[in-house]
Amino acid sequence: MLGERRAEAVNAIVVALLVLLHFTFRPFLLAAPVAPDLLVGGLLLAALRLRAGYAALLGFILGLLEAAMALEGMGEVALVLAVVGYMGARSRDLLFADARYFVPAYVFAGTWLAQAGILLLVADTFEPVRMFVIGPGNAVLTALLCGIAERVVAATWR
Amino acid sequence: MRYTTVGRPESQRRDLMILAMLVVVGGILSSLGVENKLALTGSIRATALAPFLATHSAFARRGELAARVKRLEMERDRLSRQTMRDAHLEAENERLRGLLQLPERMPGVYLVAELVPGRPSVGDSHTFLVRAGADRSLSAPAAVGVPAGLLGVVRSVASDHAFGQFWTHPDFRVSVRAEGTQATGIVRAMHADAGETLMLLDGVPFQTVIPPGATLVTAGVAGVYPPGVPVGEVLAEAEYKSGWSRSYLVEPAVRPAEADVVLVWRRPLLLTPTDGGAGRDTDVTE
Repeated sequence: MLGERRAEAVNAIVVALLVLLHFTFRPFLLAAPVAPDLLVGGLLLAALRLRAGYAALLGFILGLLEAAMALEGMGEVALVLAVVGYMGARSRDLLFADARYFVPAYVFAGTWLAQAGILLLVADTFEPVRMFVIGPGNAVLTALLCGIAERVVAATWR
Repeated sequence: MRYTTVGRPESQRRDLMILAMLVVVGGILSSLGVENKLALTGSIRATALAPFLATHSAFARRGELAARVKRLEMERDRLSRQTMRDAHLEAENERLRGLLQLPERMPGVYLVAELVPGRPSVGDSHTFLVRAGADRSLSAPAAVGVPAGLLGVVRSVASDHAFGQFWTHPDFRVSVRAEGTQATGIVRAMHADAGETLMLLDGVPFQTVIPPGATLVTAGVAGVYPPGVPVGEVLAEAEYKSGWSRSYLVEPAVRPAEADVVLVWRRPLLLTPTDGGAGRDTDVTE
């Protein structure tokens, strides 16, 4: 029980750190051709331990912050991240969340889905390169980073 | 690692209801008017995001300092030359207006302000923030430009900043006239096939032909934009036609990425017959 609480606390700290890093270094992350999406990564890691409704709420709040930072997509980004948070928490329950490579695969799929959703709802034109090249590239980096972060959390579990 | 499970069916229903509620709220937010959206954006930026935005400004200032000094020196030299060239024109204009018994010109006031473009994670930004607001007597709508041309319009004003839209925004419209002809029309953004954003001049009377290369300047009809500001250059007639009018593709004078310091136009106060010119703004740049 104590170990579980400690792991939850570490997970919360890791998630908060990812979100803080995202908003602090956002101009540099956007300037890079491919970069990890720390905001969505943090949301997906949080969704691993939250109830689906709360994960959706967290996604919605993070989406509002992201849209306010970007000056674009107020409402649309929040909506996409709420759905991604909810689906993240539900997929944890429905899939084999204890499998070894679940977290990287889950973060990859979640990040790509979030980026595709935002691209479809916010951007003026459909950009295939962004959807099928940059999106998966960002998702791979996010999955790698979150996989490492999740290992840190898992180590504190033992 | 072990994760928590789904929970009881009633909890699942509750989660689904929360999501449905958030989807509805998200839909309402995305359908809000521009001013409400910008007001919400402004309040989030002034509170939760304020520390991050301050950090970004510090990063930007540190990174761009050397390049900015160089650019400012070049701009200063260019302005010195232009001032020397234009000094006699101003005197001549005043003399001619006196001879024609025209009232004094009321060009309004240009506020110099820093522009911060929006940076969405995907797509291009159509929205910007300028670091001038009600504290400098700014009110919406107000034209935003650079010496090379028109950039956009301020839509919402807060105490020390204002939000606006670039000309690339789907809602942006400006009334223009073609220099050297009598043609007038309305300019809006248009996405070209290659993904590039150009301008489209609409509503030109069918019998009026504008030659390629003609410069479009603001007509200044409604008082939102000052007259005579370059908007773009006509490229060719567009295939798109609406009724008895012609449309033209226009190369914009300025693209959003080209500006970091802008001029925001504060229009002159209207004269009443009794005030004899009181409340007139002078041609200054603050």
